[in-house]
Amino acid sequence: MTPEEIVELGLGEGMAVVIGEKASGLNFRLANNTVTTNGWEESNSAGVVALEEGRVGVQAADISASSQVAEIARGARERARQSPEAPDAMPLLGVTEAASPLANESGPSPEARPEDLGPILDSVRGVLEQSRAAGLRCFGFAQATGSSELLGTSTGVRLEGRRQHASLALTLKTADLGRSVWEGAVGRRMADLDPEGMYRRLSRRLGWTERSLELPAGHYEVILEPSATSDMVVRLMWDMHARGADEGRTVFAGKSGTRVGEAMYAPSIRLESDPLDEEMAVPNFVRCLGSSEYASVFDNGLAEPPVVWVDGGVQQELICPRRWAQDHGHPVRPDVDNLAMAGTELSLDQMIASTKRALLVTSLWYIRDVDPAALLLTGLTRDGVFLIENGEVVGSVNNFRFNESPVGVLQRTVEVGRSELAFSREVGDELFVKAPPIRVENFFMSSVSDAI
Amino acid sequence: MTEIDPGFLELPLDQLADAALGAIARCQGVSYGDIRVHRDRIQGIHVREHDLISLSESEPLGFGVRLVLDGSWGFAASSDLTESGVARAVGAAAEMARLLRPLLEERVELAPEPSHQASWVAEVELNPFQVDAERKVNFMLDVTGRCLEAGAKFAEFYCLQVQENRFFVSTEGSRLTQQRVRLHPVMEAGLVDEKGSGLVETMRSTARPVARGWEYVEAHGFPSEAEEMVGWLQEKLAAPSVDPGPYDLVIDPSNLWLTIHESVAHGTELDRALGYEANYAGTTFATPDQVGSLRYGSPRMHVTGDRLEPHGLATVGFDDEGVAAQRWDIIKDGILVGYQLNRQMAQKFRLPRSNGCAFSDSWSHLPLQRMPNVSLQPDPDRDTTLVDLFAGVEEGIYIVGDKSWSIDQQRYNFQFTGQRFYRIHKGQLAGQLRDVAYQSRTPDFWGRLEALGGISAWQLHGAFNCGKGEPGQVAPVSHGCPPALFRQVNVLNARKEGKP
Repeated sequence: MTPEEIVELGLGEGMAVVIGEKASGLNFRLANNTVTTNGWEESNSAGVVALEEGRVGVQAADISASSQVAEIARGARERARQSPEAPDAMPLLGVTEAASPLANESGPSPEARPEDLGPILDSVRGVLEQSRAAGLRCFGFAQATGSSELLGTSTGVRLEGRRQHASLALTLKTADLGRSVWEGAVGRRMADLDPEGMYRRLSRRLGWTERSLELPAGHYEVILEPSATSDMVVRLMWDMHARGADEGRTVFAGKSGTRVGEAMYAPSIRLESDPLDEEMAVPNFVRCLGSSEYASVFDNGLAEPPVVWVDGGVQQELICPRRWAQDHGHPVRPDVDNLAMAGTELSLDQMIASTKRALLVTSLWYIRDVDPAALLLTGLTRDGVFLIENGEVVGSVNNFRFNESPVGVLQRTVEVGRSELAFSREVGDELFVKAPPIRVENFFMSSVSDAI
Repeated sequence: MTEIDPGFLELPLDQLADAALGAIARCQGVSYGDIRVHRDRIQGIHVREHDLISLSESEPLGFGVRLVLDGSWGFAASSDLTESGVARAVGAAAEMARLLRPLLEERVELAPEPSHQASWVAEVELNPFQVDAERKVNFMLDVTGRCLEAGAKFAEFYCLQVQENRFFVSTEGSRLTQQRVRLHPVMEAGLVDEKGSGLVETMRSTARPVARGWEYVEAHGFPSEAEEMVGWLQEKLAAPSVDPGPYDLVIDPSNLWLTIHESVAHGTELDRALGYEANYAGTTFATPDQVGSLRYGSPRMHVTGDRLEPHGLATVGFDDEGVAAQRWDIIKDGILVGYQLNRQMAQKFRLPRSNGCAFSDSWSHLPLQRMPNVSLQPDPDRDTTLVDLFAGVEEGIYIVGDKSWSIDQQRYNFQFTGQRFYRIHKGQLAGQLRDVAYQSRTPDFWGRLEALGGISAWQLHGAFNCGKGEPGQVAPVSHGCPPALFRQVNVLNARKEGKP
């Protein structure tokens, strides 16, 4: 079944909102210089929202027969009848109030097929051969996905959203597993990825680990590489909603009201989202099958325009669905599925060259909240901590556990490098993020980790 | 007696299996194949204060085909439950195996397993999908209402309910149909210090995720816990902030299960030990060459793996490659003695049989070696109580409930917090403390285990969301344990840690 058929069938069953999706994906994994597992998948799915006098019922399912659409509509209707009135009830958007369809959403929908592996496999095979020949061990994961969603509402809205995403991560270790480095890359297609280039950079970095140094816990000047920066700013973004601030539950709560308008970060910090960014294009309208502080089922079809969340270090916006905005005097601000932290022209090499003494941190791992109200996080450095002295990397350093807040990190950011598509290792490789390397003063490494 | 959902049995399971086995048989070079039809029913209810925020149900349904062609895995999955959908998936699985064959250095081989033909159903009293949503929502709204009446500023209640059905057929002759049900009720209340300190404290119920029905939610005692929790929160807001340093810790099962999960259960997965997760979830310090010699912890430490524990979240009749459920030792007398295995890992480790840890969270994902129920056994000699454990502490902390957790990629350095922390002074509880986090290194921590609670104090806790694998998969898993006494563990003040 096509998304169009799913949407028309669902609306024909009296549903207020129907989302039909066709998706596919493929992947393979590497370990110890060999391929381990792989997979290809295809799916058609439907999600419906039933509205019964302000009460909401939601149901979703994978679909292989048209009769299933009527079944899930029946389920959604039954749940709506058993529910009290929704606190976020609003009139559904009409065609003129909703987002405008994008001109470029035409032609075949993006798909991931086994033959798409072709352009990358020779290159990956070469990487594994080089790793074996060098007496090293290579590990990794490659994946590509393609999807097309069609949103239909009983008020006549029809919007298509497409998404195409690919990523590759490689870990290179010495044969005794005693030293380890990692790099991740994100693109829209497998063909955008460059395994051999990644391997060259990893080999250089593994060379840096030939001299290893032990440093104690404490406060350090650090340069967070883009992956590490992206994990920090994405976690910050998760709390950037008006409801949590209004209720006093998040770091965005001020003494009276929210912290919008406050200089929360260093003046160089700018965070923004743009669904039409060519390198990280995502659907530009709300698709929601479950209300939360981020979105409301009543806002389906609402345009997600470009937004500047933070500018000049000042918090500019918080995510806010329509009903919360109406009831609490905020501007309506839908979330967007990508995030960019602005950078400068400075390369990472230039930042290293101008460093007297600092730690270079490649990626972060196992990040969890310690104090949600202060957004204090704990986590670890992983697969690349290097000591820079007098403009040069002089060796690798043990891993650390850190206890830090993204707000504090962005307050103490004293230099920002070139922003690039980044692989958020902790948050997940399926999110589009652009992030620069950043120099942060007084980054707190709470203890040493023995892990390699 | 619980029966398998007729709605699942009405799917064209036999036709799909026949189509898959036929198509696999026609593929040149295939030495093994299976098909797994997998349907979940998932219902999520989220209540905040006096409002229902969302009530939604989803039904992921599809099949995955797995084959070994010329020594290479091929996996393909589809939501198209037709014979043509199966044929397309078998073709894609074979194509994936062929395309990736040139990258393969080590052929896939599987440890033997007898073929099984069976139907297995986990018993529940009240299947949550047979309970009106209205009854569930009203119950949850009553609980959050009680929190607010007692003085909470925020009150939330989530309940995730899952019914999982699987049908598995392999080229070796296994034919298995299974059903299990689980739910996870999470009730949380919060307070803001009205004296202007800006402190926010939240606290979560110690209700556990369980492989039980709705009867568990109604019997847990949420209404009274809601009111108690507000009192605990008020006490916690006024409690002294902990002075960092080494303390004797008595850790409640509601907290210790997570430390077991992270530092023991993940650390004893053979696929991690062999590097299969090195790019993502990580490896482990517990390497295969140390089986029989690695001192994981104190001699009191006896840890088992199983897929049999009644109401365990990892309990099944058969795993996702048709291996019958088992129980075995992982750590005995403090020494590493075993691992978690699937058929491929068992073969690599030259063991005669897998211990049944293959699991896939979805029709669209390849089964991986995933965690069974991993449990710390109670004191075998006496039925030690919590009070007995407190009595052995001059100055320490009693930790209840899990909250924040983090551990490094080799399962050494960890940091955990909790829901409530009580000072223990001269063997007695002496009021709450705030801002406690304990940080340690796995073998050091378990080496400090001095005493275990007895069988009466043993509890089964767990998680719905254990993450591993690429593409990422989440698995439900239980961990049983008694309360336990650990000597001189490093305690941090979490709030001070955040100050530059």
